[in-house]
Amino acid sequence: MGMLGRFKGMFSYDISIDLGTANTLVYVRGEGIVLNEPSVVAIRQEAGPNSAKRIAAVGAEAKAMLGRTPGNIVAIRPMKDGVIADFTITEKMLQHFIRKVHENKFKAFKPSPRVLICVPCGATQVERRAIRESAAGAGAREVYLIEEPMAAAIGAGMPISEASGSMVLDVGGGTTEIAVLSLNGIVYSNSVRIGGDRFDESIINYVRRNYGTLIGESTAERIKEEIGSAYPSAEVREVEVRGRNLAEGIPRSFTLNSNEILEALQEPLAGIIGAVKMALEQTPPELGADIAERGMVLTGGGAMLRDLDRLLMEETGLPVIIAEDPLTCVARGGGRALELMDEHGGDLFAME
Amino acid sequence: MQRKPNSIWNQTRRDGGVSDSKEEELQQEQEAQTQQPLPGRRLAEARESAGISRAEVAAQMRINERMVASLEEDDYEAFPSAAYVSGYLRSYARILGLPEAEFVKPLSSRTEAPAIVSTIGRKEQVSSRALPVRLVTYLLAGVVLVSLVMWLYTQRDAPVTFTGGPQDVAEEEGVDGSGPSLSVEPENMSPDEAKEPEIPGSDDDALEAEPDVAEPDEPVVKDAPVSAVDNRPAETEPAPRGVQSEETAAQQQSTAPLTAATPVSRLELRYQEKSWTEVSDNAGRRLAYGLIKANQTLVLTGEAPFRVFLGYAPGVTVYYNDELFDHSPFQRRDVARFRVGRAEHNLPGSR
Repeated sequence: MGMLGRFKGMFSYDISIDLGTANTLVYVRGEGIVLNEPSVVAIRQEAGPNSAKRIAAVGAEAKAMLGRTPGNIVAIRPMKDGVIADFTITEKMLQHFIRKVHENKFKAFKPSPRVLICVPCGATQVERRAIRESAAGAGAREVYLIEEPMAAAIGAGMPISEASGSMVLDVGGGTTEIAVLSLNGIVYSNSVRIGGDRFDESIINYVRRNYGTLIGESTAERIKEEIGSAYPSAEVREVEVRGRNLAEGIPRSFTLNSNEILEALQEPLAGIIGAVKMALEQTPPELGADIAERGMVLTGGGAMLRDLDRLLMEETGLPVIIAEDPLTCVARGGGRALELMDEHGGDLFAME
Repeated sequence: MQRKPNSIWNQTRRDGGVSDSKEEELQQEQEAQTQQPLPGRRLAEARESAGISRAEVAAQMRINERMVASLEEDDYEAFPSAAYVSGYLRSYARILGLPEAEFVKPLSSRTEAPAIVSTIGRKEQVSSRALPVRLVTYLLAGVVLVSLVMWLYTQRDAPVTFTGGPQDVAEEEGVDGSGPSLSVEPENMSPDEAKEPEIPGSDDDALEAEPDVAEPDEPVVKDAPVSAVDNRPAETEPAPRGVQSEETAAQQQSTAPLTAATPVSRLELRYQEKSWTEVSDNAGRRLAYGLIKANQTLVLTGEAPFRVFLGYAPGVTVYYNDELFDHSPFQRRDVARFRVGRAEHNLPGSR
């Protein structure tokens, strides 16, 4: 490899994209994560006879607009539940991100990249095709798809090539993926449409129910990040929130504490636990024994929810560890998979 | 069954754990500044000073007590991969209320990611890197290379001299249909006699040649340049062919007009650079046609004037009857097309 690999690298480059519901991460081979932006697109309706639509902003800039747009601008999250909800806008967003990476440095002189995209294991053929075509339309030379938990496990550094079971739980923005891997393959996988977004929704609903106040998605996300937790702890933290009081119709400020948020998150957390228990139930006993000994690995942005590992440990009685840098595991794993594919041929993983 | 120790431990931690661990932290930091001990030892020390047993930690982490022991001894052989080690270390540190990152940092520099490529079921296929495959490849490549070198070597040795224009070959073979040489020496058929140089031909001075003469000769003449490519075409090659074409020669003898000896001129082309070359003589016979390499000399004889086309004229020096012929006036973008042999043709613009 060595020389030849470097030589090939001079002429082309590979990128791995974690096209998530909440965030899109781009990993460039040899450089690491070069882009990490929210999967949000803001579209402006132009005035005039043609009334053309234009992309106003993509990424962090567009996310700041979420829920704060005037009538002629719409901020959209084109991905929903881990799959493409709006094909055209996803393509535009991918185009924007790929171009952004492409324009950096001198890559503009290189041919268009090979792109590996991580898809939820529950994605249907139609959804996979939509993702593939979006990437092809966005200027990818070749498109590969890899199952998200596989990429997550590679990114977390789990020994998936061994003849022993490894369990990975990837809690993303839109979906939670559970998989048991062995010998570079997926033994069991399941995807539930519960993720960071559902946590936010639950918080919004809780606040409306209990405080009669409406808060936005961004506020809910901030609450989750600051005081959200999955397991009761001795320390109670508080956060001040502003929202519109439904009865008075006036924005009011109030205080929420971590126990309330814990209560609010009960329902989606129960969904995740149920999926994990089902996975353990359906895992072949030998692999189950391996998992019981070494435990499951948590990846994805949801792994950063305080004490989620603790909750899973209590509920399953198995060791649970959080991967290093859980947010970028999938993108890094995808990049590593591309490298391995070059070194050892394309049949290494169940890719399409 | 694991619940009980947990709750006990939780209580103890709530009671006095926080302040203890604060002190621990300070201590740890001081230690880190001085020498930075291994993470396992620091965790073990912290655990002992907090008064927690190894079994309690194991129960809290839901792992085997033996694994906790190897964590504390910094012996990572028992663990499936570095990812698990760092994960366990982090949750261990969290249980003790210590900053997690500190314990993982030294680890990442010491361990590597696990091999992701499975060795199972991949051995049977012989890879292109296997020794026998490589040897065969090298052998084949060597054979090809050696034969290439040998071929080039033989090519270089052979002087590519296009001796013998049509007249010349005809004389030596004794089969030429064109009148003059035959009339002089019609019996020139044996190989011994064929070795004669072309001097008698070139001695002739009457330069006029009838274009009609060319027509019947064509089939015979076409062989000439081909045979000339070989090593010593003039001497050895013509002999057998002369015998073969005896009959045709005899036929042509009768038809050939008996004119005076046709003048034969000598054109010498010396190549400093390789150049595409086309030469034909007055009778329209093609004397040379092909790419001639550098540092070679082409000697052509035939009826003057010659029509010469040079693909890269600056790299070729032309001698006509041993006199330097300057073809630079005919050059156009390195290509020269000119006639040489008669005074009026040697002027530019008279093509």
